[in-house]
Amino acid sequence: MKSYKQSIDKHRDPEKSQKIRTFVFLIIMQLCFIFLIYRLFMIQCIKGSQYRDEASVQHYGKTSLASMRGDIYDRNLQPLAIGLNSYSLYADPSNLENWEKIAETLSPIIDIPSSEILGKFKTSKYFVWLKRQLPYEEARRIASLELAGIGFREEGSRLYPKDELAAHVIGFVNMDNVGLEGVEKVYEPYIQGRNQELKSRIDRKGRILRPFDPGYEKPIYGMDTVLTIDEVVQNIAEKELKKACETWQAESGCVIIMDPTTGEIIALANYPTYNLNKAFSFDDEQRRNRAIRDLYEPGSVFKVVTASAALNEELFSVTETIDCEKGVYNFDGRVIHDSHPYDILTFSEVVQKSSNIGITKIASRLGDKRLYEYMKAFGLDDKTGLDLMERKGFVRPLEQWTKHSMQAIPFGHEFAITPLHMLCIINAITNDGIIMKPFIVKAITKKESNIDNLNVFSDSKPSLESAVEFSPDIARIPISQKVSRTMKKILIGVVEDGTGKKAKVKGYQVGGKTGTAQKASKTGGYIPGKYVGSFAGFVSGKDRIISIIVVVNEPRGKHTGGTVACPAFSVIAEQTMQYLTAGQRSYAAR
Amino acid sequence: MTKYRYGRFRYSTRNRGSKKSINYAGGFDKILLITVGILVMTGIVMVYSSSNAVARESLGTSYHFFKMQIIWCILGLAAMIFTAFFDYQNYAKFARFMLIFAGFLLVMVYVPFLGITRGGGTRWIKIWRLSFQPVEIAKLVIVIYMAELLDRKADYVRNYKLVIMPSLIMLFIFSVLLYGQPDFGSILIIGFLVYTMLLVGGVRIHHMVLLSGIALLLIALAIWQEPYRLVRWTTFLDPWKDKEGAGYHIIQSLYAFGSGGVLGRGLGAGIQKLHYLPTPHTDFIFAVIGEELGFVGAFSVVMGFMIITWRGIHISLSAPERFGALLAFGITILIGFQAMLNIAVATGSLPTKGLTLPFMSFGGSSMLVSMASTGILLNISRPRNLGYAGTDSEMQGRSKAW
Repeated sequence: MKSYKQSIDKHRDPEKSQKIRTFVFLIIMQLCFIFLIYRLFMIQCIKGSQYRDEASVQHYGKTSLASMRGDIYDRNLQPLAIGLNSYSLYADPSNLENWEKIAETLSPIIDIPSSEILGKFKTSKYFVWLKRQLPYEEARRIASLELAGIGFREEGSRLYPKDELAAHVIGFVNMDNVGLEGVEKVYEPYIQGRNQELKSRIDRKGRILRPFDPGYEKPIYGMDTVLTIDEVVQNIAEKELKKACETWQAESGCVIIMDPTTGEIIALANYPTYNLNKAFSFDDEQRRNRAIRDLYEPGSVFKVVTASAALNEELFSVTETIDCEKGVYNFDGRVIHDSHPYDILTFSEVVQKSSNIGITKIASRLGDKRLYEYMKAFGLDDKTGLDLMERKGFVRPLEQWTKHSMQAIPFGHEFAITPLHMLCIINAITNDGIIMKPFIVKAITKKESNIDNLNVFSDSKPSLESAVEFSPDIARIPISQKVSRTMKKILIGVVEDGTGKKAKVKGYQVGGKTGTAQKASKTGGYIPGKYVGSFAGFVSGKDRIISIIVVVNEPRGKHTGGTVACPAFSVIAEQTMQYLTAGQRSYAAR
Repeated sequence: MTKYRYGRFRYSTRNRGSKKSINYAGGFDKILLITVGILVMTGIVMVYSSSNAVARESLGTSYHFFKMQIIWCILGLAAMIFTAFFDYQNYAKFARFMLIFAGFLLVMVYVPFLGITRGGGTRWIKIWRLSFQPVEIAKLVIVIYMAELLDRKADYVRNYKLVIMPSLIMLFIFSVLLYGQPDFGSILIIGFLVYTMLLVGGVRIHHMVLLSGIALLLIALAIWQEPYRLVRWTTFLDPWKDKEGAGYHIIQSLYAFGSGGVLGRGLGAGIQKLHYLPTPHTDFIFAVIGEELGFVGAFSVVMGFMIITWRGIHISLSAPERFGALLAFGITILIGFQAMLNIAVATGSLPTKGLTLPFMSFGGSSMLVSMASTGILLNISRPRNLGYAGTDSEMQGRSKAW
């Protein structure tokens, strides 16, 4: 007892002090808890709504519901361009946990070096694309990794199942699914559709908790477009054009096939061409739709216009003779040559043999004023009316004509038009003097949008109910029915007994006009040795008639239209007519 | 001597010969028992609510953590029943052995194959299929040891060589073991435990002031060594300064509480647990409670811990002798301080530290030890005939025997 007392402070009682200290701790701890309750009250009751609002900002995410671009079909509803949904991979670098590791994980899957991925991460932005429009399998593999800060955005994308077929007609889209060329561009408002943004609750990894709140709006799907193009005919045209251009080592070329009675373009081919699925690896030389964008001097093919004008004005009869001066003639100081010297030719023969001297004499009786009027009547100084970013023809106004213009224009020089203009002239001849407005989109139809289909390939066919329909329309009537029929006979003569013999097709009646034009240089004058060989004509079967133009630009070796363009014309005409008339594919029925 | 025998004699005289002394269950502190029961039950529900989405995603079953928590609760209940009926005075005999065993377990963490690294710390050891944190056991053992030490040297508490030095050496050894894991949160807790128990055990105030100075110096040293800790320590003052970085966890926790408002979003309706909050079923379970059950729910939980603290201190004050009083006090501090820290971190009142909420967070070892501690408290609260421990001279004699 004593030792205990001695060892402790006499003024203090250890047990009491222990109890007091214990009690003090109770008070301290309870005060701390009360402080925490005060904190809770401040956070939850006073500032609660503020935090709630701030939290809801991160709880809601916008998901873009991608619309799908409308499909493009040929006239027999064969798909030429298909809209699909694809997934694009993006990163939110601020949310990424381990840059190096994620970059290395993704690299082999998306086939981008990890250093490049790392480079993309190094940005102050909260959103950076890693790869657009991934193949489905890649997207699925990455999604299964469940990486924070890595996400997908659904985007529309485009598939062109026939690669190069009708490339210049269809055109292509960019990464943001906006049409840049051809039908894709011109009919963008119809084809595009409209994306919708969907606000939904998300977890931190950006996944939607309740996918479809009742109030959301469906994305509006793009409309389907049905073209007048026939896939089979288009294929024939492209194949033969390529063959001709390769045979003659030509720089370029084009083929247009039309139904002159309606103005429908059945095929439109250009050489060189490009793969729509890899459009960005080609340049403008390949992507330009030369058939309607490039102006050229048509040369002798144009004699059709001069001759029809003279007949329409009743200045000549087809049997009237014209002295062709044995191949050389001096008009007011300008010497004109014929490729073959002729003596006396009838009016028909002037066209059939393609005598420059003969047609110049015909034109001089017609006079420049009337020739100019007819050129305008054929629409050569204007657009043909095809809604595909075509170019206007270039014809100088009458007052700018020089004194030698009348020795050049009558056989197709000193002005420039597109191959489509030239084909429209032939259409007037074959269609009783009426030029139908050329068109390439037959109908635009609504697609039934189905929400269950959002993520899968669309297999819906265009519905029969059309949103917009395009019907044949008369563009111009430059010459009378009588004259057109006379001219038609003359053009048939060109093939049977004139410059266009190689255009003959067994079993079908063929007419047309060859053209061999020198190429004008940009600085003025003509480039020696550079020609445009062309043949514009028609082929008619029992109750079908189609018009075709074949243009071969800068062929090597031989250059006359009769040699470079006629054989291609012949094959195209034959195969097309066989296809069109043999089967059940009567367009009249459609 | 008689005037400060408040606790000791009240129970012993009142219950002697009465009917209550036969009734075992009736002798426990019922308020403590019921409060702990309610917290544990609520904890099970909240563990399920906060973990089901994450578990379904990562493990394929939403019930994983729920099931595990129930298993641990059953084990914890068994431990509690055992400790509640096991005379606490026996712990004094084994205190030093237990201390060595706890140290041994902490060393085992460093053994390959046994130690498990999770979330940047090697804090678990795995035996069969159950993993547990040795530090949880160590905390309780340190409380027992400190109580035993202060009781054994009750006469010499004012002599720093005999009391403060051994506890500081013990604290240093455990700190070194924990530093390697690293687990600064636990160092902080055992440091605080040792400090408070020394203080209550009767150590001189100016010694404690000196110790506080040393502790502050050590904290300053730790910060100076690794400056990122300072950033971590200061962001809680203004978490919006680094919204996506150091402040992220605090902000998400505040969002959870704020979204809960007064009445909460409703059980299971919380959103913050969907990856916004880190570890919603362990460290931030209180934030999930705040979001789903609102201020009312969060307030009730804090009240629960206030009741536990009150009952714990009450048991300490009315304990029949010094070892029991110190043991009850230490356990109360252990539970109360951890709960306080966890809640303070969740409400952005203290810097972020990975600490569990006793009785509620998912975590086997924490649950087991908390329940066992509660059992010890209950055991101390039991009325008993303390014939030989009834007088100072006998206490003194017993402590001398040690």
